[in-house]
Amino acid sequence: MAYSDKLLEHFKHPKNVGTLDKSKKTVGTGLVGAPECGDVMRLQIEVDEATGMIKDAKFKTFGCGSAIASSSLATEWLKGKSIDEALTIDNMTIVEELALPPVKIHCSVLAEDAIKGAIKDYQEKNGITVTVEESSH
Amino acid sequence: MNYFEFFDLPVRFILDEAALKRQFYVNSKKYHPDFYTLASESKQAEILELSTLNNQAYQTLVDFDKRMKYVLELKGALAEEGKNKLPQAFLLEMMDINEALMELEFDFEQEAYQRVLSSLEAQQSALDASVASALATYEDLPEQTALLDTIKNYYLKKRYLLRIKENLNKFASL
Repeated sequence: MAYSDKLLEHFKHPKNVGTLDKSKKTVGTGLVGAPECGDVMRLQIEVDEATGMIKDAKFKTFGCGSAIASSSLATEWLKGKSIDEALTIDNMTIVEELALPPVKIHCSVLAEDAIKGAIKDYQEKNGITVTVEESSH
Repeated sequence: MNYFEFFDLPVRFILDEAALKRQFYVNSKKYHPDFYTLASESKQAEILELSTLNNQAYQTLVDFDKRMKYVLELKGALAEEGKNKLPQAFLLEMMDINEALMELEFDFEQEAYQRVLSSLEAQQSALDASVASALATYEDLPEQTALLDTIKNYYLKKRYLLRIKENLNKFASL
């Protein structure tokens, strides 16, 4: 199975690995898992209170290369986006960007769920109506 | 025909393994392709299929984890990949153990290694204990869906622990 260069790049040099202070009101945390492979993924966003834009995003993923690459890419895309824009990121965009093989599509689903989890957490923390729809996957 | 029916055994998580083996040998003889070299082509094909099934079914049922997965799938208790969810508290614990494990990879410390190991073993025995009665009580009755749910959670959580264990074993030789 051949992996795309973009996927390998995100896997070998993942962007935005790390942790944000989850006790902060402006930070939303999403924690998701793919039990079949024993993967666990944490994705966090920090929202700029003045502009409502996501100013930082970090992740930590214990899992296969595709799961790491998917979450790395997701954090790259999240930065500079509004919450509404962030909600439009869906797993198939990740699949296309990284050219994920069919058996690895669930890794992108995981990343999308993590994004939604982080946004939901942020909205709940700040008393904003939750606009995240229940996972359609 | 499911694998249990094939061996004439009841659908169980805890299995009479001696009976399984006995039936496997009986079938191996019964469906041995060598006894059918003079039979028609379609009969030969049928026998080949049955002997393959015999081997596949045995490999699945003889292994505790594979059997568990098979029963859960048979009963429709396991959601398709990506839809099986575990509680946040458990994921948090797994995140913590994995983080501790990663630190070990960068900077190995015997004490820290022992801590992760004991934490993992504690999780494993708590998990095993939590499911023992469900595994033993399950008798393929329609009203036992709650048991299946318990066993499914056990099966999924065990995937995490197994993975961590594999990673931990890398340090065992140090």
